[in-house]
Amino acid sequence: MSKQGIPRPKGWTLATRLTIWYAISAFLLVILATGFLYWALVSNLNREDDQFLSDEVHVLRVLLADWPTSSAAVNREINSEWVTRQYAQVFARILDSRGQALIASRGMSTKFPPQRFPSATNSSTGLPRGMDMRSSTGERFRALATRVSVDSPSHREYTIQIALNRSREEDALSKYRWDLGIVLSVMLFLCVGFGYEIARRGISPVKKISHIAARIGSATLHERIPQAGLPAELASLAATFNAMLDRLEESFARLSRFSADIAHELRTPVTNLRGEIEVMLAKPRSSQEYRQLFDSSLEEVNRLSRIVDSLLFLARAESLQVQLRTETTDAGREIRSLHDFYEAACGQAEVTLTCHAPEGLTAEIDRTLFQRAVGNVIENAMAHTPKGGSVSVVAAANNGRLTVQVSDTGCGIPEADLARVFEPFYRVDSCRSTPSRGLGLGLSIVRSIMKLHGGTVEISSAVGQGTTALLTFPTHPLLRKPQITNS
Amino acid sequence: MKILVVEDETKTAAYLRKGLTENGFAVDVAATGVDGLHCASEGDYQLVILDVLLPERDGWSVLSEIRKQGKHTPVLFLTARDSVQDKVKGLQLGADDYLVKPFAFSELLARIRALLRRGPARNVEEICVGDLVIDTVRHKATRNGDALDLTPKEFGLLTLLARHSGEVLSRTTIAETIWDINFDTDTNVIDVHVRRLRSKLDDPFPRKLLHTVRGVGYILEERG
Repeated sequence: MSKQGIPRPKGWTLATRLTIWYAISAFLLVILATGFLYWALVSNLNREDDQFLSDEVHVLRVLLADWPTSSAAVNREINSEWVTRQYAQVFARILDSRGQALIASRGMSTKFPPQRFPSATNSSTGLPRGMDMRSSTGERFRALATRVSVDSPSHREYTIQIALNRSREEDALSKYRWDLGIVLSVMLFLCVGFGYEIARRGISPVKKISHIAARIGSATLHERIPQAGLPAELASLAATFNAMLDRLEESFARLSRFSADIAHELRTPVTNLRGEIEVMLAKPRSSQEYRQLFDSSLEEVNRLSRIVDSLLFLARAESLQVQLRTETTDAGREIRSLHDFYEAACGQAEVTLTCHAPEGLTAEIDRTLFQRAVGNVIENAMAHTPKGGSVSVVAAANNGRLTVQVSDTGCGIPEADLARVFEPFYRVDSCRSTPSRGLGLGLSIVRSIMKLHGGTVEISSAVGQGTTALLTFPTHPLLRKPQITNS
Repeated sequence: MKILVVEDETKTAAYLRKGLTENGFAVDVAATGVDGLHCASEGDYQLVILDVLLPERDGWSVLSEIRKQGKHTPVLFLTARDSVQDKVKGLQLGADDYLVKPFAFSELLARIRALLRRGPARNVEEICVGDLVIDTVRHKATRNGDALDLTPKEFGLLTLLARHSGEVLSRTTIAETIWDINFDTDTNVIDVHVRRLRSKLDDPFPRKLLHTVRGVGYILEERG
C-alpha cells in the first residue's frame, strides 16, 4: 500500500503532543525554581536593609535621649556620616510629637516631602518592616518610619523617618533579572529540544511498526513485525498485529486456493461444451447427432448450474447471509423420508441403508437445510461404501442437542485427508468400482449448514473399517450462538 | 393463452418465446420496463413473466403499477436475484410465483401451467394413459387389464407422472412431491426409483409409456 493511500490524520501528531507536554512541564519547573530563588534573594535583601535601618534608628534613638543637647551630634550623624556615604546613603528626618520637623538630612525635604512618607509604626514590635518607595527624584529607597519614645529625663515621643538609597541594589537586581531572562529563554529552547528528542525516541518503534505495516500487501502477507527490541507494550501490540496477519494470510491463501479450484472445476464442463459443439459444427450432421449434442450439452450445463448454485449458497452461508427458516421439525420423520429416498439407490449399489430415529424427536431447525445436510452426508457414505457394506443413520436427542450419526463400513479416509474433507472441491479417492462424479462441495455445504445452526459436524474414520460423521444441532434457537443476519 | 414476457436479455427472450410458443402459448415480448407496463396495461394477457432488473423501470415497480391499475393477471418473476428478502418483496407486491435464473425450462413450464390452472388440480378418480389405468381411490394400477404390483411410493410416482401426462417432470419436482425432499441432489437417486417403476410398468409390455428426457427429467405419455 502506498503512503499516499493513507489519509493524514487530522490534529497534532503524538510526537508534537509529547514534545509540547514535555517542554511545558519542564519549563514550568524551571520558572518555579528561578522564581523562588529570585523571591528568596529579594526578601533577604529587604531584611538586611530593614535591619540596617533599624540599627540606624537605634543610633538616633540613643542620641535623642539627650535632645536638644545632642542636636549637633545628630546633625553630624545624619548629614556628615550618612548622606555622604558612597554606598549605604541614608536620609533621615526627626519629628516631634506634634509632627514638627526637628532636624532633617540635607535634601530630605526635596526627596521626601513629609506627607509622602509612609505613616509611622511603633518600634516595640520586633523588626520594623520598611517599604519600597521612590523619591521625588526617582531614586529607589527603602523607607522606614517609626515612633520612638524617650523616658529620661522626661517622657517625649519622636517620629523618625529614615530612608536607604537602594539604587545600587536595584541595579544589581535588574541585572540579575536580565540574566534570569536569558537563562529562561535558553531553557525554553532546551526544553523543547530535549522534549522533542525524548518523544521521537519513544515514538520511533511505533513509526517502525507503521512503516512495516504500510509495506505489507497481498503479495507480502508473509512479512511480520520483528518483536525483538520493542518495549513491552509495543511488543504485545506487534504480537497482536502478527497474529492478525497470520489469520489474514491463512484466509487469503484459502480464498485464492478456492478461486483457483472454482476456475478448475468450471473449466472441465466448459471445455466439454466447447469441444463437443465445435466438433459437431465442423460438418453437417444428422438430426440424431445434433440431438445427442444437445443432450450432452444440457447435462454439462446442468452441472455448471449446480456448481454455481452450491457456490452461491456457500458464499452466502460464509457471510451469514442465509436466513434460516426455522420451524418445529420432526427429525425422525425427515430421516425416514431420506431413508425412503435413498433406499433404492443403496439397494442398487448393494449397500444396506438402515435408520434409527425415535418418535417425537423434534427440533427448531430449518427443515430443508436439515434434509440437505443429512442427505449430503448419506450420499457421501454411499459413495465410499463398496458392495455388501452398510450405511446406518442414528438420530438421538441429548442435553438440548439433536445428534445425527451416519456411519458406514466403507474404505475410510486416511488421516492426512481427514482435515481437508470440508474444503470445497476436496475429494477423497473412492474405493468403489464405479465412482460417482460429485461436485466435491457436499461436506462444505454440510459444514456451512451446521455453522448457520450453531451446530457442529465431526468426522472420524479408520481406514479399511469405515467413517462416522456426527452432526450436532442445538434443538432450540436460544441454545444457538448469536449470529448476524444481514437484512 | 396469451403470455407477456418482459425481459431485456435478447437471448433469454428469444428462447422463452420459442419454447412457450411451441408449447401452445401466444407470446409477446417487451424489452423494457416501460414497454412491459404499457403492454400489460393495454393488452389482455393470461400471464406476465417479468424480469426484475429491467432498463427504464424495474420489475417491482412495473408489478406494483399493474396491481395499482386493478389488474389481477398472474405475474411470475424471473430473476438472477434469489435472496429471501427479494422473494418476499416480490410476493408482497403481488407476484404469484418466483423463479431464479438459471432455471430449467421444464420447471418454468410447470410453474406456468400451475398458475394458469387456477385452483386445485383436478382430482379425478381414474387416470388413463394409453392402456394404463390408475384408480386413485383404491390405489391400484393396471396395464392392459393386468394389475401392477407397486409399492406406495412407486404408485405415488406413477400417479404424479400420469396427472402431468405429456409434461416433462424434473427430478427436483419429483423429489419434492413424492419424498418431500427439497434440495437438489447430485446423485442418480431419482433415476433408480424411476428404473424400478419402469421395470414393473414398461418392461413386461411392448409399448413403453415412461420416457427419459435427457438432462431434463421424465415424461409419461403414449408415443406412436
